[in-house]
Order: sequence, then C-alpha cells, then structure tokens
Amino acid sequence: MRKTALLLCAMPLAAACLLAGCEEPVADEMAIQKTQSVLVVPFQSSASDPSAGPIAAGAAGTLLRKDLHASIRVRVAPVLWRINQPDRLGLDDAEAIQLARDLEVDSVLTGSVNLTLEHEKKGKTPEILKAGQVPSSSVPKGDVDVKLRLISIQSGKCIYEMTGRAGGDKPAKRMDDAVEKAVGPLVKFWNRGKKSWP
Amino acid sequence: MILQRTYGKQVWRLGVFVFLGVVGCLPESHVHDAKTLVSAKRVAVMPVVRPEGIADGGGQAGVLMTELAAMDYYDVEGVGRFRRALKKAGEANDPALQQTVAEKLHLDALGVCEVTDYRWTTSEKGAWYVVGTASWTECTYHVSVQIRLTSPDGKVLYTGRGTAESKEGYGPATLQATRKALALLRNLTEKAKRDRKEASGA
Repeated sequence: MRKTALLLCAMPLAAACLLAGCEEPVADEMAIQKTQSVLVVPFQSSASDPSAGPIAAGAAGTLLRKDLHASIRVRVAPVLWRINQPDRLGLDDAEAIQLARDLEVDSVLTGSVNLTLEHEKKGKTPEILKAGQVPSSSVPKGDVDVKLRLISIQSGKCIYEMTGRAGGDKPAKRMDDAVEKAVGPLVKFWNRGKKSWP
Repeated sequence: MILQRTYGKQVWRLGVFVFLGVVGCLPESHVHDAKTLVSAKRVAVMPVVRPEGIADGGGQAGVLMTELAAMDYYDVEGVGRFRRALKKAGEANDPALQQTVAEKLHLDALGVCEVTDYRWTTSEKGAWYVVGTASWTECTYHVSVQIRLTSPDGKVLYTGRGTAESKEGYGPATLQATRKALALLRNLTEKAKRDRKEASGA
C-alpha cells in the first residue's frame, strides 16, 4: 500500500522532471575530481543562430568561474576567432583539445547549442496577424538545448556529458537556465571533496 | 560608539542583501581578480557577439567602450590596433599569439561582450474617460548583456551581467544594461582611485 502510494507520487515527479529536461549527467566523477583546470571554448551553434554557441559558452564560463572552488583554474579561449572568423559556428573537438594543450590546461569544456523556435516546430509563422495587428514580441517562443561535454586532455575521453533544456520567450533567461542545468551537476562533482570554500 | 556604528553598518548591509535576495535582484557581477583589475591600465574591447538578425553589435561595443572610458581609470581602445597587429602576425587561432600581440600593444585586459537579449514586446493599454474610452499599444524594449574582462592569457578577471528595459527605445535599455553589468567594476575603480589619492596625500 505504502509502496503503491510512493510509486504514485514518484511517477508524476519523474514525468515532470523529464518534461522539464532535468536528465541525469553521464560523468566519470573520479576523473572530474582529478582535473584541476578547464578551458571553455565557444560551443558549436545551430545554423539558425550562429551566436548561440559563443553566448552559451560565455554563460558557462561565467558560471564556472563564479561557482567553482578557487583551486580550479578556469580559462576562456582566446578571443582571436572574434576577429579572424566571426561567423564560424564553433570549434571542433580536435581544435579545442589542441588549444587546451597550448594553454596547458587539463580539460576542455565544449558543447553544442540547438535553438528550436516556435514557428520551426509548428511549421508556420509564430503569429498570423490580421491587418493592423502588431505582434506581441519581436522574438518567438522556443526551446534551447545546451549539450555540454568535458574532455580530459590526458585521456582524450569525454568525462562529463549533460544536456540542459529550457524554453520561454525570454532569450537571455532560457539560455541561462539551459546552461545552468547543464553546468550545475559538473560544478557539484568538481566541488565535492574540496575542503574549504574560499 | 565606533563599534556601534560599524555594527549598525553591517546590519544595514545585511538587511539590503536579504531584501535584494528576497526580491531576486542579487547582483550578477563578480570581481575575480581585483589585484590585476586595479593594476591594469589599458583595455581593448573586442567585437561583440549578438543574436542573429541584430545589426547592433558595433553599437554595443561602442557603449561598452564609452562606459569603460567614463570610469576615468583605464585607457580604452577598440579592436583596430589589435586587428592590424594580428594581420601582420598571422591568422592562426593561437593563444600565444594573442598574448604576444597584447604585450606588444601594452594591453592589460581584453573586454568581451555578448548581447543575450535584444527584443521588444507590446502590451495593450486602455483608459476610461467620461467622454469615452481610449486604447493604445505600448512597446517595451528589452536588452541583456554579459560582459567579461580577461587577461591576455585567458584568465577571467571580471564577469558582469545586466538586464534592462525601456519604453523609449533600445538605446536607453542598452546603456542601462551595460551600466548594471559594469557596476561592480566601477565601484572597484572608484575605490582604487580614492586609495591612490589618499596614498599620494599622505
């Protein structure tokens, strides 16, 4: 009886969790704790918005620098790509790993961002307006998926993988929420076992 | 008396902190390396990344440069000299190159900015008068930015985020968002200026 009640309570929670996009990360916790420095490189963007990758990487770098234990070094990728190749859609793994080796860090945080706007989902324009009507917003609602991967430079293996998903009509908030969902567990793994907070 | 005054100040600060926390307005800016930020003299602002379809990246870079220069602490410059030096040195995405070029140009920090929100929304407004009713559409402009100052070797020195909205247009919203994102840095430079003044006075 008690088990059934528990199951009945857990099922809607699990469903809500899945719908909200809070999946479990794939992580090698031991390897994460051994890692002492990280380089954040611009993430790969979906073709619909090339800016999404750098924006998500900026948010991830900010969050890591803010929340990580002080003993872990956080570096951000050189800004040269902003000048040399401003329209590129992010760095591939090989480039990111090479960059991390050059900067002598032992892991690299990379990822990809996928933006699905309302009109793409439904296959029509977000708001069909009658003559004289104004749209309620210049940006349609949508979902953003931020898929993060932490690669160990020593082994070349992915030691953390997590996708954060968020939606809504506020682009900055949905990006922040998605990045936080993806980065949050990594910060927890990393900080676990560290003796004192700075 | 002095103890009481200090204690009162602490409690007052704590009260403001708790209030801001409750209303969800805690500052989203952080000084990560105050020593380097205080000792830095020259800052170059890099090209701004902005969402697809917005042709205002240059405008945001200009606002960031102006606001940094208005602190009257750093020598601020655009990307011009950096870009020219890079062209001479090569096009590779090499971190050592960034450091070399920055050293050559005597740059202590690089300003990086992304526009994360840039949109307008409308809301229907109405009013009732004795002689009749009136309705109109009100437009609000929203801007969010995230700003970082990094050392030439990629160390994050300062991170700031700002969100603002305006009924007037994108200009005032952009300015307010940038000012919010730089608020902590402004406090730091003001304090450094005061300290320097006191030190030179003594």
